[in-house]
Amino acid sequence: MNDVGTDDGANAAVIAELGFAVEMESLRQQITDWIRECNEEMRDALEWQFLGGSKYFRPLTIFSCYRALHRGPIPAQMMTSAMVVELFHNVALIIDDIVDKSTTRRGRATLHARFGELCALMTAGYIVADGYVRLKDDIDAIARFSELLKRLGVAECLQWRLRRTPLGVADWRKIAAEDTGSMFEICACLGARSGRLRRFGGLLGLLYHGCDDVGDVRGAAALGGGGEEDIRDGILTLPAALAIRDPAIARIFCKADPDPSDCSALATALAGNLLEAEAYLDQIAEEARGEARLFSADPEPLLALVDQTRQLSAR
Amino acid sequence: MSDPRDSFGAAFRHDAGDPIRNLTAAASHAWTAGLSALQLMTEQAGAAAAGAAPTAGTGSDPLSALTALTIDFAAAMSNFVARGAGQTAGLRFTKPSSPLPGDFAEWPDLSSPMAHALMVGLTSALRYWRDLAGVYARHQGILTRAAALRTMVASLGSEAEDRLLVDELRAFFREVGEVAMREARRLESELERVGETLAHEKERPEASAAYRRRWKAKD
Repeated sequence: MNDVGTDDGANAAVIAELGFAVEMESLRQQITDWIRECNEEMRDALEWQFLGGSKYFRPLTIFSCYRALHRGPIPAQMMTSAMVVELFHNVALIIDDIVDKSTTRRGRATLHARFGELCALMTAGYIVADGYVRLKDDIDAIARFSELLKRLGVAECLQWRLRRTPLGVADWRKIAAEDTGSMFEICACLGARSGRLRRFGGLLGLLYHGCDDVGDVRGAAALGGGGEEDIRDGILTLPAALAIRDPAIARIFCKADPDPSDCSALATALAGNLLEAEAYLDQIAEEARGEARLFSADPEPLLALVDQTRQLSAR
Repeated sequence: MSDPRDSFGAAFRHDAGDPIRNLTAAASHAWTAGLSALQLMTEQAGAAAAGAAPTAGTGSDPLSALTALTIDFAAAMSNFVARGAGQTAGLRFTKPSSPLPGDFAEWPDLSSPMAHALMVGLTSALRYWRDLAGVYARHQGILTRAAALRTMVASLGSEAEDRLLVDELRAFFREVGEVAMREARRLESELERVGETLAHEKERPEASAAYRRRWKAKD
């Protein structure tokens, strides 16, 4: 069996910068071992899903939040939480790809494109169920992961219901806070073993979401590339929220069935708002840094995490 | 807005001989300054909307007023702590004389953690007002525009301007709420730390008491 995909050069540099190379290697090994123990019927799909490599930003957030408040090595319980968050993150990716009808992710076929929708959906369910089994008697983590899955579900429905609606930056912020924000919020709670860094995690997730939005417009392959699906589906990204302040762009954005020229006009308008979007992301990054300084014993790991996340929009 | 200082009454007036009363007076002044700062900002925003020049440079700058009160507050605090330290030293090394009003001898439980908690609470109140004033200052332009739109309906901006205005107003509302939430969390966290210090001091085992096993191991 193949090992779980190792990260590319850029990700390795991020992991080394944050000082968690050993923990990440251990995490990859845990995931490899887990796939080996899974039912044979699911193994190919799981290998495919986890073979593609990952940025591992969520586990890194757990580790960094732990380090910001506690000394000593990362405990085994924390390693399990990091693994389960990576599993659940992949569940979200599988569902996203099905909903978006994406056939590729990071240059590889998506799970449903390769194995079919039924297999992809069942694999997602299998991962969630086994993730909870891994948590064993860690009641605090079980509660956090339950909160996460509920919030992700709500966020997806909300985002889909509000598509093609001319909303503002404040609405983008709310949606992003519940989508990616909730994931990082929970990572922060799991790492801190308290709610002390919850707000920091939320801001980090918001920053990640916004950088992803901007990176998509830049066509940044490192973040999964694309952005065409969001334009086609009228999804409220950060550049879109800024661009649709122009009523003419808002009218195109709201079209139920945009043609290629509409999509092209939207893409141009979004690109025209990148500078303002970057400035807004700088503000969020600064808010996150402020939270880190106020609520952690050692803010350095968190500040490094914010810096690394902020750079994602440029890739 | 009426002068909020009136509502605090004479009980909090400055008293040169009583550090606790002085400290409480400093706290009431902090609240007064915060409210006055907001009052001034509202007036300035209203005046700007009506086309009048803001009252800058008249000595009534709200942030300067808050800064001045911070200095007063710090002075009251150091006086309070100095009196406490002196009193503690006196209790340890000299025969205690009859206590003065407000001295620590009258307040045996108002030791270091209590003073610290009090300082944390008062600093938090001051910081809240300062940060709120900062939010108002940052968004003064948008508040002015919003006020102008309210009074001059005929000069409504374009649809794009309206969208921008709504976005910025929502950002302002969010930030006002966030200032309160952040300060509440900060206060909670700082008081927690004071409480933990207090608990650890209470839990400290007596160094003189030798450990004595009170049971026998079973054979």
